[in-house]
Amino acid sequence: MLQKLKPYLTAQVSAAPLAVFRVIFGGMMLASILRFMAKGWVTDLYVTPKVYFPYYGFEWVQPLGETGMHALFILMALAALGLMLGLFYRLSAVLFFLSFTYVELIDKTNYLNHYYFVSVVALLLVLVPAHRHFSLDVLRKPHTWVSHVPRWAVLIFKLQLGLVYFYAGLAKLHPDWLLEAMPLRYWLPAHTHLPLIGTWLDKAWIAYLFCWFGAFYDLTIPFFLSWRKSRLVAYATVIVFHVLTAVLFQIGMFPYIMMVSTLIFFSEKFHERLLQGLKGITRARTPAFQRYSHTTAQPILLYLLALHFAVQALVPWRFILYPGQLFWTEQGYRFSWRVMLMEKTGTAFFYVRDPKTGRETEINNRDYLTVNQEKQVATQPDMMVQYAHLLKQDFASRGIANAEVRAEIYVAMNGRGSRLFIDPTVNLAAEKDSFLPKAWILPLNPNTAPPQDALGQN
Amino acid sequence: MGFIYPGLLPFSFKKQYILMKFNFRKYSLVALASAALLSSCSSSDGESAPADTYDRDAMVAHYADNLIIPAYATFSAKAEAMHTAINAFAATPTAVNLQAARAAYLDAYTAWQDASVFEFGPASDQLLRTNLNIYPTSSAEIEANITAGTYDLQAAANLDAKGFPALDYLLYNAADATLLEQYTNAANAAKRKKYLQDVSALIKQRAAATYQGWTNGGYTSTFKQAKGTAVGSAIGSLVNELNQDIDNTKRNKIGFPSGRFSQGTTLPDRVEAYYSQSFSLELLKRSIKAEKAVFMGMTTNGTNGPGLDDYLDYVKAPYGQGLLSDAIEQQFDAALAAVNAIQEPLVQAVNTQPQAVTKAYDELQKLIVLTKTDMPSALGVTITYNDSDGD
Repeated sequence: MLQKLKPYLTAQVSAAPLAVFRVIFGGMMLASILRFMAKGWVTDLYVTPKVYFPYYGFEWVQPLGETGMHALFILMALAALGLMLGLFYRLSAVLFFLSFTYVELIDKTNYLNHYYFVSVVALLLVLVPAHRHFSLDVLRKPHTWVSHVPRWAVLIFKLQLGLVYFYAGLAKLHPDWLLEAMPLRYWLPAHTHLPLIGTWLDKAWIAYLFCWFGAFYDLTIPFFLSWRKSRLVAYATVIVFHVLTAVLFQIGMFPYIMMVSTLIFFSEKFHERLLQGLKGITRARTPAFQRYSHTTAQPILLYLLALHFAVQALVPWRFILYPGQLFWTEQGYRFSWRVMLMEKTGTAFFYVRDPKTGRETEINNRDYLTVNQEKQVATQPDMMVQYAHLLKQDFASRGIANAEVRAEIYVAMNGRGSRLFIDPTVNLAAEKDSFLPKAWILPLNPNTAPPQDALGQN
Repeated sequence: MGFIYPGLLPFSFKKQYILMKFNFRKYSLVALASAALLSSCSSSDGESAPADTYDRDAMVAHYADNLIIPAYATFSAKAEAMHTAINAFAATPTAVNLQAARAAYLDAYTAWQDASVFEFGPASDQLLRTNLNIYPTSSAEIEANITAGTYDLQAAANLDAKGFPALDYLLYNAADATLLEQYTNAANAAKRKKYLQDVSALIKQRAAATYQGWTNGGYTSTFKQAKGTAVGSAIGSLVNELNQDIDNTKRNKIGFPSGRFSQGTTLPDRVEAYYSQSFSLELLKRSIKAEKAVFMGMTTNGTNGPGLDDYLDYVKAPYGQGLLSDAIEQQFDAALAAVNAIQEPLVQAVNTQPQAVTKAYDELQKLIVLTKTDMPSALGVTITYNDSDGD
């Protein structure tokens, strides 16, 4: 199939959209990194915590200490600047992808879908000749300038963006979202102080409207943006939608990144005029002829990209392989563009037992974990296992070998009252984290006894 | 405004289709509304709220004006009275003055239990919980400070040598006659009197500074203006600090002494007000009552105003077959009943009535599950300052 598509994919299209995307994305990343550093989050998230929760298989990814982490962020900022300016582009793209992804892999506490999105886009940017048009690299080496790039180099970003939206929309086709308007029914009333729209946010029907509109928007926006006739209206909707999410939710830079990234759906003319305007400011001159970019590695690249998108399309479905309800067990939840779908809060009491004496001690989680980490540990089974192992190690270092760790964890999800989340008798320190289903997660059964009855019987 | 969607719920597929059909028109309406939102200057919403909304501003104002400020007014006054009594005792260390100082100390310590929930704004600036109530207190450090005659009570090293626990030691560490001796004929009597006065002066100062912060310092209006439920909002602060306070009550007042954090080995010397021996339970009950009052929006004279419980009812937060607010209220009562069932002073009860003490602990644990899991969830209160996920 790829062979048939090849002429279409490799046909030459204007390089302007790709160049604009590079500038915008690099600029947004630079701003995000500076904001992150200015808020002191490098220290808060990667220096002060006593423990970290790396991803399965990436346990070797460790924080680099205070100087190291700040240096890494400065490197990341410089790489983002390189992306934006198109200066030492391949190196910048590789460094940005590696540094950003490394930071994200240190602690899954900080997992956000939009960080994952940034990593994926950064990886794609490594593969495209985004620096051969409207860049400092072209100023340095004028012979590298091209007016056109193969179509796939632009298409992959549209496809990736479309995929993010579409899967975010699919994830919203859930009874909690559509029939209960959860979690928006709980979240929106917290914003009644906002001017103009505030008074409406108390209304249940507004929550339903937001939910249904959100699902419709996510599922259809890639298509409406692709279709020339609907593009302008669709883009206006993009702005409205993301401005609303920025006002209502604490989601940082993400709405703005999406607002500018989706410009890539606009026509070549639009981008060329945009660059023309910018060139007017910078007084740069470009040749009047056309030149195409040829990448010898294209066939291999195309297969790799096909593989990438196959993985992207399949990974969100892996939850089907796990028993139980996805939202409750969170087995196969991450890396699937499931955003804003759950109001899930947990309270976790961990107990460490010395097998020799049989005596048990309760753990003050804050002795080990940050507020964020405690919050995540209380709802995510893989982190519970990691934490149990950390506790076991700590107790071993204090002379209590082979300590057993169990936990009483209560979780409330999308308006269902809190209930026991895992089997409180299981020794979590004896469990190994893996991709296998975790049998000790209790089912989300509406008839489960409330904690009043469950607690204190162990 | 053109935001109103005529039907109630676009449930059926047919309706969804209609929604799709009219989508573009709605797009532009939403766009208009949003543009207006962006351009309108922020702060107060001039429109009068529809009748079925909950007046959050009134609730926050009720907390500030009728619970928090009165709590600090009382606490500050009691701390002042305590300092006066302690000065009188230092000037004339008689048995009568000792009793007066002790009574004033207990009064102020009790008033502190009513105020300790509100550890945000001025109280957070003053680090009241840390500066006033770190226990167990270190008798060794206190004695060393007294002997040295010079010390910096603001230093972190002295956190466990000051506050109410230090006063408890200074006023109760021996039988009355021996204690009076410490302040009259003993070697360091003058230095000890000075230390006693310094510790009490510091409590008085911090209590007054906190009260001032709410009244003259203008924090009241800051608090009332901190809308929404994000970190730093009035409601967010209330919910999070209420939870922190219940957690402290559970962990510090019962958990540590009863051996929960020491493999079952009881640590009676970790009870609150250890040296006076008999007040621990009273202080414990007082703090649970205070936490319940905060949850209910109940003033000290028994007026039940708009509180977190009413807010939970407004958002129709369920629990089991009933209301979450009822479940929480009942759990407060269950915790209080369990504490009331402890017969002896806590310092003995941890060893003589372990079952009763365990029961009290477990009831508080159940309470925390409700207040820390279900309540913030239903109110959309965030506990992180970081970006969270969203599209």
